[in-house]
Amino acid sequence: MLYLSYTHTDYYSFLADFAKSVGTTLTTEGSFDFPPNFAKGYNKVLTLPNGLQAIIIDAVLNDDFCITRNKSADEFYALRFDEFHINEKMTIKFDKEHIHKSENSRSAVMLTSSLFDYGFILKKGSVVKGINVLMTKEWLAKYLGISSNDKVIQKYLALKTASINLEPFDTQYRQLFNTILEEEKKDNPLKTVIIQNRIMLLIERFFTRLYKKMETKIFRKTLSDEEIQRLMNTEAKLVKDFSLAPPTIPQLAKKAVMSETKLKTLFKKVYGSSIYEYYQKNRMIRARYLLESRKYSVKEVGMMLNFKNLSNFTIAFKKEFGILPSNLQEELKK
Amino acid sequence: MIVFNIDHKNYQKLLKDFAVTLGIPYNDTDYLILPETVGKGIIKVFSLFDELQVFLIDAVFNERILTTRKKSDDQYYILHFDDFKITETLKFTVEDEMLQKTNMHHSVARLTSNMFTNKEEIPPGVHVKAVKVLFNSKWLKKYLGLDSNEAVLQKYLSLKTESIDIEKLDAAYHHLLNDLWEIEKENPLKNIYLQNRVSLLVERFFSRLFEKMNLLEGKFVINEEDVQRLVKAKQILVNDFSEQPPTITKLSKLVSMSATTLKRKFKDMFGDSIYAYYQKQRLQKAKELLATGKCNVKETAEAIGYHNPSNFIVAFKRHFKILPGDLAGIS
Repeated sequence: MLYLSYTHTDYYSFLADFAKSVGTTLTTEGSFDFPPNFAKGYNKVLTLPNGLQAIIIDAVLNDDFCITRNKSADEFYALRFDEFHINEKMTIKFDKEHIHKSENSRSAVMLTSSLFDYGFILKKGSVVKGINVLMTKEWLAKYLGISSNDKVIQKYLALKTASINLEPFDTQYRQLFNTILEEEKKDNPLKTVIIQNRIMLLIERFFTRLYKKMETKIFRKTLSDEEIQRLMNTEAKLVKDFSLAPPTIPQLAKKAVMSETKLKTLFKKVYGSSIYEYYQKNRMIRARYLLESRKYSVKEVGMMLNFKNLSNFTIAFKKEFGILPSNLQEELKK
Repeated sequence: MIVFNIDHKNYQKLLKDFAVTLGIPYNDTDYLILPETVGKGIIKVFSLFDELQVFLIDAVFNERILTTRKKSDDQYYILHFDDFKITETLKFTVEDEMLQKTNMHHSVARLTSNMFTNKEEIPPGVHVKAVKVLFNSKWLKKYLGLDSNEAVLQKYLSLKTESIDIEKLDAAYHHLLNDLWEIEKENPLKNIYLQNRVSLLVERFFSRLFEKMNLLEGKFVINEEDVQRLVKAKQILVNDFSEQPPTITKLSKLVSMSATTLKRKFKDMFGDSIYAYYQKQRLQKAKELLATGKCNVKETAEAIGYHNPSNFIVAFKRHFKILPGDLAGIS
């Protein structure tokens, strides 16, 4: 098992230590590839022009993995976007609280503070994809106008493990998250700008929604942790693979151990649209992304997204974006 | 005709200047509503984290408006998002080139720099809707990683008026621009929201520009190799002011160009002769050094390569109309 325990308030030195503990070193670009006995994948630190630091990880574990960040008096915050596929089970630690997750996927957005211990244990075979953004107290104050004794933040942080499922990782987060991971692999002269802007949008969205929740007083959760977790699993199944027909509602309800009516109601409550609308919206976003990559024809994209009939695809696309896929392609050629 | 001569880069001050020239009472607000005597519409300004300034206008003027932004020394850029309904003829001037547009919808994104003098002459009755984002070269450098991307930018700017119509505003631009107009005053995250929209506008403009550069190749008077050489020559010039600058003969050898071609093309691209450019840049550097309060006049003179402080003082005074000592005294 790989153990890593740290108190760093600087991602660069954290990652340098991490690299060392697996017997390798950071490249000049601030990244390292895991040695195959630990994992297959990479870890990278980014220092953004506006002073933020972020870590990107994309790896499949070949060994059990235990990571703990010890609390420190230096006040800073980490906004975590995690998309994990869990093998067997995962343990999350928050100060003295422990929770176990045995679902097979965990997509979450959460803010943690250095004032608490935080860590997790994952089993061999799990897939770890994540973006962590480190923000100092000063940065929060300057850019977000948030002081650390801000009521909303305090209330959120005090929830500890209960905050884990507060913010669903939905379409818009996922879109930004995927763009960052994909852009990271490219060799675009504006890569840094594109990544920085997406990270800033992730931050904007998280805090905007946090404030809104506070205002509308749904901060106090109306759903149980268990229910939210099941909804997250449902969501993950729904958007996992668009090349196949989507799971039916009875299938989803069965997996989520809920009645169909209950699943439908709760899904809408958490994700803002009905199950099918949500599926279709994500499918169209994927379509747009594929078209914008300019690698595929309209027909190919339709097929990749499991449309048997091309005109159904063009109609659905027009409905979502107000433009025909073929017109979008022409626009892109201009 | 109303004439605005703009020789600074402070949008808040610009708003005040507008009010004064147009005879509108102004109380240090960040917006200006045009009275009927002048026209109809609104102008707003805001700045973000001391780095970016934004100017928004949605107006129709009763009179012809001529704005001139003269070239100046501290490098900055303005990204314009123009959405004009032009009746009659509108004239854009960049340095020595002029472009006229008659009876059309002018809806473009374009970048201008203060390396060149820029003018806009807007006839009365034109619906002017625009967002302008002003930033300095430091911000651009930090943000775009400009060292490696500088050639693209210089090439674009060297097109002068030909660059005006390269990038049209599409739905994605309009969407972001509307967000800037429609921000709610009470939003606690207002600044970050605005900054993100501005950043996305800048990103979109540059991504599309980078993609289009190949298609534009035929338009450039200066070919790609020369652009690289000129950018290199510029970097050599401003690299270290404490050393004597290379002579033009030496510089031309360093970048493998003939001295005559170098001189001519340098001026074409950067708007100034080699020596004038060098002089402006080092005096600008001096101004920055003095403003930090860490250097006195003598040290500053040395840092930018003057062995005789009185020569420095004379040059500084001629350029900025203020004595370096006065500036050092302020901080």
